[in-house]
Amino acid sequence: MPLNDLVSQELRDKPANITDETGRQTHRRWDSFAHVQLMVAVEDQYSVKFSNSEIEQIQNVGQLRALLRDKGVVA
Amino acid sequence: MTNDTSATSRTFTRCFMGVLLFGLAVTAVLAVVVDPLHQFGTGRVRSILTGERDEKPALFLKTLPRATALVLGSSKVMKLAPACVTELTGFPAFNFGLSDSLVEDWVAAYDFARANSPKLDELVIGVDAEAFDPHAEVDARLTSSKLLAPYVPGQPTRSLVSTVRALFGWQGFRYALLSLRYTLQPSARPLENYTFHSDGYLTYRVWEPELAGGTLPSTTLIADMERRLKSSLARPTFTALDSRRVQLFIALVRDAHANGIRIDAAIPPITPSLARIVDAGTVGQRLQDLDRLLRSLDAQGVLHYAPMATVADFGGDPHGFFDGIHMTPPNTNRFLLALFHRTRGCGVN
Amino acid sequence: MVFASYAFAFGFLPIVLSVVLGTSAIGHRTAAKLLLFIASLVFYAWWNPPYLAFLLAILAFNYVIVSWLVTTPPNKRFRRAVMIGGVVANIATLLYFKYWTFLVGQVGAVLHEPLEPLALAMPLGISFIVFQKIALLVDAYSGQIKRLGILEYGLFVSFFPQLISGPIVHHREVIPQFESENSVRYSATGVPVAIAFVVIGAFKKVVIADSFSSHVAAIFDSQSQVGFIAAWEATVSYTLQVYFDFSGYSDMAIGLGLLFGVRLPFNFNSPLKATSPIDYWGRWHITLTRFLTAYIYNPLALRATRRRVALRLPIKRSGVMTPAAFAALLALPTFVTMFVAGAWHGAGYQFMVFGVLHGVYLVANHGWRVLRTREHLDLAPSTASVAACRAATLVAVILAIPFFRAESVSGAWSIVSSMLGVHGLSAGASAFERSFVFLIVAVFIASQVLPNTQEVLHDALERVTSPLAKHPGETSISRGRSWPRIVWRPTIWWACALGAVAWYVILHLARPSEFLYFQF
Repeated sequence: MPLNDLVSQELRDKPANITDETGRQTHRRWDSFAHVQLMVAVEDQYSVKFSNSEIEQIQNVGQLRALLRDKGVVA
Repeated sequence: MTNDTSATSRTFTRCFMGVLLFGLAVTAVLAVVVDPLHQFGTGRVRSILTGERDEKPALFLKTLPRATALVLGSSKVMKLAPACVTELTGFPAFNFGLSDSLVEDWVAAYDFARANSPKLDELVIGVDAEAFDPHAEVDARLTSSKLLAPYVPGQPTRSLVSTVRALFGWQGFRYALLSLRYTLQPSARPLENYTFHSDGYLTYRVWEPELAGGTLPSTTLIADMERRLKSSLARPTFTALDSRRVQLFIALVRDAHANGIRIDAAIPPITPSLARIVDAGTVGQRLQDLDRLLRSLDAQGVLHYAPMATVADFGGDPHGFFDGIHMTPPNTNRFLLALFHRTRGCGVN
Repeated sequence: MVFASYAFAFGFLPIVLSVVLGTSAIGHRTAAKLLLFIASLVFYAWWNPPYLAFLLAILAFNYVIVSWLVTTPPNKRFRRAVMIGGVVANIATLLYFKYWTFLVGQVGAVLHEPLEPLALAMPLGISFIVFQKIALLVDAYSGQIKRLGILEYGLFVSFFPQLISGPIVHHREVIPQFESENSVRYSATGVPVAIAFVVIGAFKKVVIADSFSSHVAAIFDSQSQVGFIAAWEATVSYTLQVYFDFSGYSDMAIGLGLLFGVRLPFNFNSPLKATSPIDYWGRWHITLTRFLTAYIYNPLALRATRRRVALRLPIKRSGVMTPAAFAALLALPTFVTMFVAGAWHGAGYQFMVFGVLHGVYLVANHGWRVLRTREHLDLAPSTASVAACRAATLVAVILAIPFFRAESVSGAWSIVSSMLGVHGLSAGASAFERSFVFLIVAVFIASQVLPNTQEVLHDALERVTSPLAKHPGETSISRGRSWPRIVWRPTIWWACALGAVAWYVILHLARPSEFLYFQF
């Protein structure tokens, strides 16, 4: 599943509304709970493991995508 | 949108510092030149606030015949009528009560009176626990009083903090401006809120007409006092009577006794609802220490102590207070009667 | 030492500024940093010199552990044990100094035997210091920190603007600043912004907050049952008092940091305008929420969620979260986190109640969000609904605040029950004189309408701080959307206005003399 679709599913928003800028400060539903759920869903989907500090530092979809890329996943 | 260049920023900083330092300078100059709080003794303008440590010694020197009976204590005793003391003792009396007095104030007043009177016969002392607070600095109003300063015991030094506070306090600034305004603009409204008769007896300019007219806002005054007793007047560090001040007091009493001066002392009670609050705190405990001290001095025969824990002990009215702390005249006269173990006189009974 | 005091304003600050920045200006930046470190120690010791030994001990102990963790490879044995030992030691110190008397009292109550706790004064700022150390240790263990210079570490721990009451700075936002060339040196363009922060913060604290405190104390400390109106007056005043006091202090901390070229994180973003409990905790004591989220909530929630996913247990059923998942993944971590948040503020059951109560608010809020599957996110919420949300959030916050202020749970409940009308709705008249009620209303309106310090100064701050100092994830301060739009610039007008305000604040630093009362 493309990353944007996964994010839109977790945030229960339309995929068209999800961009690289969508993030903790900009999206109404992206609170601390949604953040954790999203990270674990991404881990499960792409079979990666994030460290707690990586999770803490992710602010938006763009950064999430970059982090996945660092781990060898193109999403 | 301006760019924050170094030049703009430096101008800003200089301007800021300029305004701030100028304001502080003006404030300090006013504090010294007007000296509304009587902190420095340098006031060239009459303050809107009464300075009884300047006025009372001057009034004392004018009493004719020179008073030989003194009332000493804090603002709680300032309405003890010298006329009543004279009626009860036969001596010409003067009320030397000084607001927020510490033991040093009593000693200075006593020594001043002794030095300026052929003899003294009687001291009536309304003793307060607060006068023995170890954390209280000697009042700057006392040390800045030209007439009383020579008689202040010890060499009290002024802390830097209290000098800074006197120079840069908001109240001082405000009262300096008010004092200037009333000086430059003569108006019907009098300057001070309380005035003294020639015998040192106090008149409250606002409270007394209100009391007579039934408009004294006593509920508000008592509620205010209650709030202050619980916060700013609570004195949490007042864990013991100051030993130095206790020694000063004992020395005062012994000196008077040795010179044949009779001393009648009591702790002026306050209204019951406020007394409950005071008793629950440190001041209440110190009042008990004070009671013990006075009893022991009485037992030694150097003074006459009339223990009065509550208003009932002198047959007073629990509501006979302006603000819960300062007694109104019927109560003050009853207090004096009880002090001298009399049942009638001074217009009572 | 306290910021709002003569000793600081006339003594410590001018001296330290000139000495440290002067030393830096003549080229000895390392010496300047060392002097700043020493000055911070003096600042800490001012209240009570023996405290300094405690601070140095914590400094040394943690430095040893952190450097060991930083320099050892990730797979070395005992790394985890050492980290845990360090964290436990820090927590134990906090528990001991802050909670010992309380714990001993409780144990004594259970055993029906009064136990005498050791009378040990609590060192200042211990809650903040310990939390910062824990973050440092955990991050050092997980390889976040590549190197740690001792001077930078010392400054990070002791930097006086944030030493006593926060903000809880994260090492990664401050240590790089101390390492860079731009800090601990005079910057002409930084000074005006710093002045603005300090003066505005001081005004909020000294003029606004302190004028509320004796009135509030009279009601909270009274022994008798408080009436409905008086209870609301007291709690609204106290809410305002605590906000202006703490946010004013945080503003001053940021300003003072800026004077030394260090940007500290924001701690407040108009919490009294929050539209929900979740929003509230993102605006109130932001660095604390950040810490608790990163080091308590996230680890708990992540572990629970990963476990659930690994075991293929259901999280959602037909698009809605299952109750079991909700309980395990959200409710439990939230309650634990909020319990810690409450208890961190003080030793006493009332603080725990405070935490748990806010936990209830947050869980309910999250539950509401989870259940609202058909909300249209494209539509901006109407003004009426925003107003209603803000009002509801404020009421929830104000209802919880007695537990934060009162001496005991029963004391707090006595106020809260009055607020809920349990003792009658007309019981008691106003506890305050009209002029003070007017002041409460005016300050309240200001808190709802005016922009906060960060909004006013944000652009100016951006212009003068280096990119290094940008704090990732710092709550974006809404700019331009607030009205009235007050934007600060270093103009002469602002210089004069702030100079006058600073003068006014200095004149209010001392408590007024009591004796004046009797005159009028």
